[in-house]
Amino acid sequence: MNAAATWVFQDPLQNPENRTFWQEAQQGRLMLKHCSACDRFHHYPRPYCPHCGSEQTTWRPSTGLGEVYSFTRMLRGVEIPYLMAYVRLDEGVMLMTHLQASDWDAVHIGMRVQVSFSASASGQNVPVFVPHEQLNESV
Amino acid sequence: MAQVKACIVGIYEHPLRVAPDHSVARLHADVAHGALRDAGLTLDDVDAYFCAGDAPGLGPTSLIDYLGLKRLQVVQTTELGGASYLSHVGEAAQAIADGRCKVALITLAGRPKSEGSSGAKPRNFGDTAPDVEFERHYLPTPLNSYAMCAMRHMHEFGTTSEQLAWIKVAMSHHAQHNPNALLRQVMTVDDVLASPRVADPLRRADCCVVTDGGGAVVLVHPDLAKGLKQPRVQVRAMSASVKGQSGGDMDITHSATAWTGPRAFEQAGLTPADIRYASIYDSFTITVLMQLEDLGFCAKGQGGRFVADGQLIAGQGRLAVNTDGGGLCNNHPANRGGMTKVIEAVRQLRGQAHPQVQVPNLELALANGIGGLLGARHGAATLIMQRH
Repeated sequence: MNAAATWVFQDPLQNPENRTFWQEAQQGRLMLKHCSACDRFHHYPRPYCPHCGSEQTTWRPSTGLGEVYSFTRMLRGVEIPYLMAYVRLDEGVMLMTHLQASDWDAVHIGMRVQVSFSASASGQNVPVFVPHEQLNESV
Repeated sequence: MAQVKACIVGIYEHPLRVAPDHSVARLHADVAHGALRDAGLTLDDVDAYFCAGDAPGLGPTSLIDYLGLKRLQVVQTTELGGASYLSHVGEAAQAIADGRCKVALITLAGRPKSEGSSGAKPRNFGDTAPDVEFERHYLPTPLNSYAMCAMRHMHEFGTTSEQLAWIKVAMSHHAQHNPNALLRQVMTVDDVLASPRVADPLRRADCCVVTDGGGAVVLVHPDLAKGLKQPRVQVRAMSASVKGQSGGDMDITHSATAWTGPRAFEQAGLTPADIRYASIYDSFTITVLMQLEDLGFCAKGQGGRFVADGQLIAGQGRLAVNTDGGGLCNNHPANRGGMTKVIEAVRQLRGQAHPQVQVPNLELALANGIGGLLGARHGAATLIMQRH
């Protein structure tokens, strides 16, 4: 099955304290929160580090590279099929996302992926992931 | 043995599976009166009330007023999704043991069937949940959350669709004897594998039913239990917890039961080898498999082998599970299966399960629940009960 070309994300519900995340997404950058007290990344972002409780958290750009940790093809009972996934970024954190792939049958756990962005209904960039080679080919 | 904290003396499972003409409040009232009738008690005896997020209104306030509960000493609304009610049983037993109340009523009811709810639709837990900002636009649903757990479990441990299917097969064998069960037809592994994929690797038959209805439980102080009509069932142990994404440092092949199970066994001074009947929350087949591993019935990753070849079927397998047919075939009222897990375990301990599925001379039973989204953030509760 092929990716649904007509998929449009609903607008993310944005919180002022995460403005950086969404503004940088508009520039094509995936931002993560990093804690300088315990030197660990976390996601989703928050003011207090969930690992150590420190408030010394700052935004850092992610490489946008990672691998598929798990996924499922939502095929029935939905308006448009979609590829739901968890991606483990090279920074060591997992995030919930969608995969956008030209060949759904080739998607597998461990597949290398790279961040891409897909516009929501009102034009906010939402992070999605594509197969690493697919991005390079399509450029 | 430790002092008896409290006894379960009343249970009731609503017989309806589709209730378009009943309000949610009325369903709560039906099951409240049903469980009190089963116990030989009345509303005037109740001095503690427990409910969760399925209760209409602000916490318990509307239902307490609606039901006419006037003597309450203890009110509690712990919310762990479908696992709430197992937690309520443990908390009610402790409140009774502490001398804060003597007769506790717990109710659950809902009508998702009539309201068109399904596991393929996103749940709304409120716009202010901090995860919503980073997840809601991806449409997380119960179905895709549990499907990703199954996909990862298969990848790490070689679990197969056939092994998951055996869980449904076992529930269907039990449901054929339950006249109220929504699905009463016995299924084979091939039948399950022939059902359409809804979110791979899960098929439609891997998913629980969507039903209206509800259930209720009544607990009392052991001194009061002696004068009542039903065989007494005592609460031995309960442990509850929550597991989430841990800031992205997560796995989705263990549930919070990996913590609550060992704690409950330790409280009771028991091990999985002591258990011959278990009610295991079956929102999806994978849910059962992961809980059995996390409870210690088998090693992590061995759940597929543990459940295969009819090993969960009463009278032929190594562990009888969900002899009412479970959420997979019988009933999953309000999309919350914890109450019916407690109820069937109590039926087994009373010797009141259907003769075809009754475990002979049963002394101990375990009930385990998972509420919320297993692959994102969920609550779990483990309850151990004993015939008194």
